[in-house]
Amino acid sequence: MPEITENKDNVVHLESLRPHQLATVHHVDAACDDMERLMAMGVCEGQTVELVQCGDPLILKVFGSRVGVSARLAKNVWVELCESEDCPMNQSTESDE
Amino acid sequence: MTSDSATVEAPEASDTEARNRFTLALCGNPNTGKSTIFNNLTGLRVQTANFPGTTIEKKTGTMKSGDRTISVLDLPGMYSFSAATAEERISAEVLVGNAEGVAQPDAVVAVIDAENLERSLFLISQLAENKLPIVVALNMVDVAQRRGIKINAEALSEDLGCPVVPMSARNGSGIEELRNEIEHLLEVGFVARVPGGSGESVCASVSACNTCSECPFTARYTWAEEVTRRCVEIPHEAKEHNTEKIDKFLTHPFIGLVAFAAIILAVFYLIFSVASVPMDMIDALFGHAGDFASRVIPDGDFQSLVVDGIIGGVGGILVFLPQICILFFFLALLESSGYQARAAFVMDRLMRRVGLPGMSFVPLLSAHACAIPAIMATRVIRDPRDRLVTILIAPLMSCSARIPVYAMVTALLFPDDPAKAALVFTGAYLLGILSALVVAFVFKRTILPGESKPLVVDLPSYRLPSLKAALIYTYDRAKVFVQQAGTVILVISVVLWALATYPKSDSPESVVTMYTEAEQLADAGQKMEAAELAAEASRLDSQSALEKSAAGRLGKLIEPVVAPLGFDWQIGIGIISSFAAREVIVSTLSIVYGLGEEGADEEVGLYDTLREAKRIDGSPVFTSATCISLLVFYVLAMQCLPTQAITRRETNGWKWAIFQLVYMSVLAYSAAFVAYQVVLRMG
Repeated sequence: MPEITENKDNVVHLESLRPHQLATVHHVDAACDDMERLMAMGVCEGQTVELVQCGDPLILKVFGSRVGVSARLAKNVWVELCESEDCPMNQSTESDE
Repeated sequence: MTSDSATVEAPEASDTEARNRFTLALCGNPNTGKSTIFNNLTGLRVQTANFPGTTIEKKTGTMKSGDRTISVLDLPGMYSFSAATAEERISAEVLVGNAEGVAQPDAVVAVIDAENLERSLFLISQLAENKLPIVVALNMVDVAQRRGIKINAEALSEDLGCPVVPMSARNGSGIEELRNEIEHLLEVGFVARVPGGSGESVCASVSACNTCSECPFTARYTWAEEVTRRCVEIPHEAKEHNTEKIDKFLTHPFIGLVAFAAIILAVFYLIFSVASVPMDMIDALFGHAGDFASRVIPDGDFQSLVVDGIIGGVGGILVFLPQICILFFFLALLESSGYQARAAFVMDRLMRRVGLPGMSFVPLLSAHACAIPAIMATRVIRDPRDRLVTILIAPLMSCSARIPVYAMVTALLFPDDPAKAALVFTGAYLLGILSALVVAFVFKRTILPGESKPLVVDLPSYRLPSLKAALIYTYDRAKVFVQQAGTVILVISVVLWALATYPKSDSPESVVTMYTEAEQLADAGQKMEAAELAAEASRLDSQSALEKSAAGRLGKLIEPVVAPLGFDWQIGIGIISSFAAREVIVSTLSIVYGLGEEGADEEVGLYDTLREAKRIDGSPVFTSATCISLLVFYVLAMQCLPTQAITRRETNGWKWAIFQLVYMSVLAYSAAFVAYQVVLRMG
C-alpha cells in the first residue's frame, strides 16, 4: 500500500485536511478491529469524507452522518483530495444542482 | 384404528404448534429507535437475560397476532456483520444461525433510520444474504420530513424486494402497519434481493480485515448510494442541520467540557435532591414493617431474624433504589438524546491519559451515586479490556452509601468546623477518584495490558428523548438490581445477623441485677426511673451479647490484624458487619460502643459516645489518626456485596468479582496503614 502513497501527491493523512474539505478515502492502515469499525461507519476505500471539525478527536462526515474519530486513528487513514474535475464528489454536487 | 389416528394426530398437533411459534428478530444500527419499536410491539412483557456464555444482554418479548404468539428478540445494535464488537458478533451469529443456544429467527425486522439511509442499507445488503424473510421498518420519517428529505418507500420496497413500512416509533405512527406486515411476512416470506446477485458471501472477520476491496464493502456502499439516489430526494437547504449547530458547542474542546460538567452537575443535583423523598419513604416503610413484625411475632430469635436480619438488611439496600432508578433514567435520556456519544467524544482525550476510553467516563461518574448502575452502564464500552478495567475501578468512586461513614468520621474529627469538615469530605472523594485513575493506569500496564481502543463513535442527530422508553429502561434495570442484589443481600443479611446473634450468652450479672432493680422501682411506682434503668440494662445487654457472639469473637480475632490501622476489636466488628453494606458500620459502632440500636439515629448521641470511647489503657479510641485511617479504609474498601453480585453478572463469573474484592481490600488496608502511621508520627 505505501508505494501508492508515494506516487500520488494528493494522497494525504486524513488529519491534514482543512475543515469542510472533501476527500476520497484512499486506503486505511490500522489494526484489524479498528479498520472494521471505520469501514462499518463508511470510512472505506473510495468513499467520500468531509472533515467537519479538526482536533483530537476530530469529526468526519460520511454519508451525511457524523463520526467522531480519535486523531491517532485518523493518522492511519489516507485520503485523496477532491481537486480535479472528475472527483466523484464534485460530480455528484453538480448533478444535484 | 386407535393407534392409526394417534400416529396421524401427533404430527399434526406438533405442526400447529410449530406454525404458531415464531421468532422475530429486530436488528439495525444503534440509535435507530430499535428499542422503541421493540417496546411498541411487545409492551412490558419483556425478559432480560444474557446470551449464553456472554455478558451481552438478550431482550426477548412476546407479541400477540391473532391466535399466535410471536417471540420477539431485540438484537444488540450493529453496523455490519464484520463483528468489530462483541455485540455485533452476537447479533451476526444469531442472524446467521450460529449462536450457541439461540435458534435462528424465522424473520427479521430491519430497523433503518430515514435520515441515515446509506449506512442502514449497507447493513441490509449483508442481512439479505441470509435469505431470511425481511420487513424494513423505515423509522423516523417524521424527522426526515421536517428536514425536507423525501423518501419514496414504494421505490425503496421495489429496489429491496421486501416490504418497507415508513413509520415513527416515537409517536406510534406506522406501528399497526408494521404489525400487519409482520403477520403477512410470516405467512408469505419475502426475501430481500442481494445487490449484484447472490455470489457475495458474508465476510468472515479475518478476510474483512485487509482492505475494503477484498471484502465487498465498497460494492455494498456503491449499491447503497445508488438505491439512495433512486429513492431519496434531499433538498440543498436540508444540509445545515440543527445537530451541527448544537455540536459546534457541545463538541468544542473547551465549551464542550463546560457544558458536560453543567449537565452532569444538574443530574447529580437531581439524584441527591429528588431521591431523598422516596428514600425517606422507603426507610419509613421498612421501619413500620419492622415495628409491625415485632408486634406480631413473639419475642425471640425468630422475631430478631425477621426484624433485624431480613427487614433491616433488605431495607438498608432497597433504600438506594430511588437513586439507582433516577441515575438510570438520566442515563437513558442522555443516551437516547444522542448526548452520550458527545460526552465520550469530549472526554476521550482526557481519559486516554490513564489508558481508558472516553466512553468509560459516564459510567465512572455514575459510580459516585452507586457503583451498581455504573457497572451495568459499562456495556457502552467497545473494548472488553477497557470495559473490565472500568468495572474493576468503578467501586473506588465514593458512592452515596459512603456518605454516612464520611459524615460520622468528619463529625468525630471536626465537630465544630464546617470548613475543615468540608475539606475532609472533598479529600475523601478526591482520594477515591485518584486511586481509581492510578489503579486503572497500573492495570492497563500489568494484568490487562494494551492501549485503550481509539475512539470511533457515531454522533447521531440530536433527538428529543422518549420518556416512555427511558421509564421502561429504568424499570428493567431496577428489576435486575432488585433480583440480583436483593437475593444476595437477603442471604448475607441473614448470615450476618446469625454471626451477630449466635452463640447466645447469658446476660452479665450486673445487667440481671439492674433488671431486678428496675422491676423493684416499677413496683414502687417510680415508673420513669424504672424505664430508664431498664433501657440502660437492655443497652448493656445487647453490647455484651454482641461481644460474645461470633461477630464479637471474630472482631477480637482480627484485632491484631487491624491494630496497625489504629482499630480496636469494636471497629473490627464494624468492618465485619459492614462487609455486605458499608454504611452498616455506623449502626454497628453504635451498638458495640453501647449506645443501643436506636443510637445511630440520634447522631449527636452517637458521636459523643464514640468520642468518649476509651481503650483498655484509658486513651481515646477515636484519635485523629484512627479517624483518618478509618476514613481512608472506607473510601477504598469494597464492602458492598450487591456490587460484587453485579460484577459477577457483568463479567460472567466470580473470578473478577473476587479479584476486585481482594485488590480493593489490600489497597484499603495498605492505604489506611500508611495514613495511620503518618498521622500518628506527625502528631
